[in-house]
Amino acid sequence: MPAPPDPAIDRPLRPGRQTFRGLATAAAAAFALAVGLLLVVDLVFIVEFWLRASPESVGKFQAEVFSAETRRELVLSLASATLTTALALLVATPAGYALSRFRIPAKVLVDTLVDAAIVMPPLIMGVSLLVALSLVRRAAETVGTPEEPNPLLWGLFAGIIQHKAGIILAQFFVAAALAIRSMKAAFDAADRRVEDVALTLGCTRFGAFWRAALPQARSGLLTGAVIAWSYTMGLFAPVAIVAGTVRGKDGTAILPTRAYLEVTNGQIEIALALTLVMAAIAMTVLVALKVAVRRPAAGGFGP
Amino acid sequence: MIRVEGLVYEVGTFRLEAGLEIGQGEYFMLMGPPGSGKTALVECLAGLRQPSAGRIEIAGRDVTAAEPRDRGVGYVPQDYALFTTRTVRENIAFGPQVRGLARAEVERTVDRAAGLLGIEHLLGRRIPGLSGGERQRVALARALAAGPAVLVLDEPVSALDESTRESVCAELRRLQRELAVTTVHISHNLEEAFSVADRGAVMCHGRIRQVGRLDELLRRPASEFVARFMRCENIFLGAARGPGPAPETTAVEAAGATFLLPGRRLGPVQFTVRPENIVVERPGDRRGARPAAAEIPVRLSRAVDRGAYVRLELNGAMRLVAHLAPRAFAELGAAEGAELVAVVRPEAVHVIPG
Repeated sequence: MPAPPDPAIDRPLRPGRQTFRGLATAAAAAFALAVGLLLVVDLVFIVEFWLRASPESVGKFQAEVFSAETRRELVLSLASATLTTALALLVATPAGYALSRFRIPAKVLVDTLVDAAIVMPPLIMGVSLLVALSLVRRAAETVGTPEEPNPLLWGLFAGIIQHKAGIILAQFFVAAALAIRSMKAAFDAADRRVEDVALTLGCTRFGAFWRAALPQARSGLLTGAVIAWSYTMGLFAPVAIVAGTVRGKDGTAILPTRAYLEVTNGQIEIALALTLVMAAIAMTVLVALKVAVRRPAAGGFGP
Repeated sequence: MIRVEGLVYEVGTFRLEAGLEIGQGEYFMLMGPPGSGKTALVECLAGLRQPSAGRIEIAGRDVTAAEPRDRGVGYVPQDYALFTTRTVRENIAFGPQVRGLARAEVERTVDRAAGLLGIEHLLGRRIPGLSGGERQRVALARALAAGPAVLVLDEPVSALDESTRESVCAELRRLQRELAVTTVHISHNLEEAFSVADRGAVMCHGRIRQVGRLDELLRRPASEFVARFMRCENIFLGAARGPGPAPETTAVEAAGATFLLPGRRLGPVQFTVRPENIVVERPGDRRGARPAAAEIPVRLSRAVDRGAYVRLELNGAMRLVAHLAPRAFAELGAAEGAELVAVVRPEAVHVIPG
């Protein structure tokens, strides 16, 4: 369905502005085309492999790409990215609000540490989490004994390392940092007097946040969700380090770690095919989300 | 109704110190230049800022430490702060809904508030498509729907064009009288103030400089600042020269002219002359003997038609500004450069105390 006309976008422009509009649009189109070309190149590579490879190789390719295991990994990828995004937003929404609205001691430090999670290379993030978990294990053995470690601390360690919870933990930090950035920007742009009015109309502080601030930051919330979800869908290094790449029914492999494994095994065509499947599904989800965002809000959050 | 005693609010280098009383059902105008603390004061009333000292009483109840929702203050900020993701109906229903009114009661309240403001036809509309005047009415309806004891309006018409502003001011006055709701209105526009309010205060640098009826603020300013704020351009500092010819008067010399001021005075005297109370005549045109505080020969250097009056800039021993009715100016028939006489009526002169 075409978008309704927007007077701010669809107005006629003077010739000079039309040139600028053309250049700016060309920049957006060129980048989108470059990404599209990358995907097309991957597709061409797979088709070319399909045409020249032996029937056995093609059969193996089909079996790998369309296997139940691949489906399981895809579902685990989607589920973990969605859960991580939800958890990230749960933390990012109040955190972004606090960074935007309140006087916090050492606010610059807090703000910079949030950025540090984004700046840190994903591989190092994974290694850092592994080091932290090894300290938890050591603490479990110190509090208890190596033979009978403290059950709470050992449970924390063993429940994460090489487990599905490890996927969430590995994805969470950067997803939350990206979402906090987005939420803070959204709350910065929101008019705080709307919250003041809500307070005088009968809201508690939390009510004003929920009913007045959050609806204004709705676009930031959805942008944060899109960024966090997209990022976690493609993340593999920290996931591979913390949760491992165990395949099988109760495995921890997700599509990005599986693609990484296939590349290291020299099965580039399988890795590319898996990536294309993941990209197609991710793009479908993102388009659906963006269409939903474009619809006018139905009255915000409550009352 | 509203009593503010020894209020102190500090933020950074700014310090607000205020004491004020506003009567039940009064339409009170809070005036002052930008940064004088008007908004800080009303936000303290609304509970949006916490003063470090002092006491605020609303309807006989100490609300100094009360939450904004428990003060009964309806707040309309400068840019209206409407809930842009909600419809007009949802905006107006916000307060009654938050306060837990039953659905039918909420609907009745919304319809009543919309009816008062004449915006029933907008109820289904979303905020982004509304004009400035429509937004202003929605913000007022939203505040009124919560049933406030006090209505606080922070420059409610400053974003509107001239004609809309006038009609909205008339509507504000009508509404206020109809509902008898105590109203505190912030403005720095005198026409706006006089069109709606009974009493007012002038603020500067976080302090209330004068409180009183608006005509008192205009004609009897308590300080040079208030006189200038109330657009009195004729402010003079003179020196008492001795008793005047009439009993209980003093001859005061200021900028080369002698004024007869009421009362016995000594030393330096600061006084104002309202521009609309200066009579401008051609030399020798004086019709009959009238008491005058001063008669000053002047030359007309500029005349600007302001619609309701003509502003004359007169230069002689001193610079004077006079306002004449357009008809009076036409009868005067003076062109720029004309030699005239400025007759200052005794009642036009106000001696600034202290």
